[in-house]
Amino acid sequence: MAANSTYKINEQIVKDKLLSFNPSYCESHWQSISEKIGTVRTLSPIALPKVNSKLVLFSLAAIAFLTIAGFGIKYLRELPLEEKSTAAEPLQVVEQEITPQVSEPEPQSVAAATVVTVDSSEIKKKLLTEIERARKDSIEKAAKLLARTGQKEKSDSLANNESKRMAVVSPDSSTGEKNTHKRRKKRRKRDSYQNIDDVRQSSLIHRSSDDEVVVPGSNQN
Amino acid sequence: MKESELIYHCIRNDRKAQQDLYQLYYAPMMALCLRYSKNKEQATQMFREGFVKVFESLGSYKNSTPFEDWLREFFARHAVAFLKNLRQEYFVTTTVRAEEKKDQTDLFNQANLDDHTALSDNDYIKALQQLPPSFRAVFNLSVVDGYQPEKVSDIMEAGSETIRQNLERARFAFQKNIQSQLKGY
Repeated sequence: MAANSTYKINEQIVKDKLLSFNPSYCESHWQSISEKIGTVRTLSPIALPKVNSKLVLFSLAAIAFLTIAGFGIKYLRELPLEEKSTAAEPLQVVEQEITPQVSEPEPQSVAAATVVTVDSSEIKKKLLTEIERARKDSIEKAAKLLARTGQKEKSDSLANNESKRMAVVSPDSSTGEKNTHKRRKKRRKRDSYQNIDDVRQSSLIHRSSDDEVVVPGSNQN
Repeated sequence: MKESELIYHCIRNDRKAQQDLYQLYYAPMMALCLRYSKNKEQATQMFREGFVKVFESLGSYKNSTPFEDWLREFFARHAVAFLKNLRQEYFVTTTVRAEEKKDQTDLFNQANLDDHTALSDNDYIKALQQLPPSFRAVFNLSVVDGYQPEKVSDIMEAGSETIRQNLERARFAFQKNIQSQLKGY
């Protein structure tokens, strides 16, 4: 562009000419425009906004991480409590149960088995006394309650029955001779199923019968 | 149907109203696209895309300005964006050194007014289409459409000094093209 050149264009004429320019109408343009509008209009309701794929991936990863972390924290918080509540007591029981079973099949452990039976009989006696005492207390309470409410006959009969029963049950009592054979048999049968140790003992006896091992508990019959 | 009613029905996606609006503004908008583009094919593409965008953006039109003015500005902005998208590396509006053009104070010299009046509309269009895209856009916006420099700067997304320098260059380039058209007569 030379600095000395002169601009000779009348811009007003140029403007008028260009603005008055009237191109001939073309219908074909409208066809393509209407098609485009149609596609745009049909697509617009379901068209998704432009999103950054990296942002979406990052947010999804963050959500996944937070979810996993949340579950992890929750699990870690709950784990010790569960262990305390579930694992402590059953383990002791299992130990108690397993140790005699492992040692019993061998013939050398017969002495140990007798010791176990002695212990179990003591436990059995204790349990029976406890049960009897609890029963006696409950019956006394019931008799008192009946006496308070005015049903004296019933309370008397209850007390009599209980005294009779105690006379039957207690081996040291003077009325022990009144025990009939049937009652004794029934009591034995009931007692045999009250304690798990007895049941196990019976199974041990059965198992060790091949070795001709006599368990002292069997001599009582 | 009034223009406001036509616009209302166009927003409601009434195809007949849209066609009426298209027919009403076909000539001025097609002429605008021919001025901003380098040939008829490019102008046709620009025009079609522009009208599709117009129908999509009619909801943003406010009655405070005449619809034709709104439509012209809309198409002008679309044309500049279209040219930028076509060849962005070619559409670079560089800042020209100011001291180079300080002596060109007679840009609006009214001498030889009738030198180019014999040219037809198509000749002017051709002279414009031969300009580089940035010059063409600046010349159209400033001279033909008559926008203020601030508005041109806003539409072109360039500094005011850059716009001024590009306009001066565009004017002389346009004059050169007109002279070459006149030689053909």
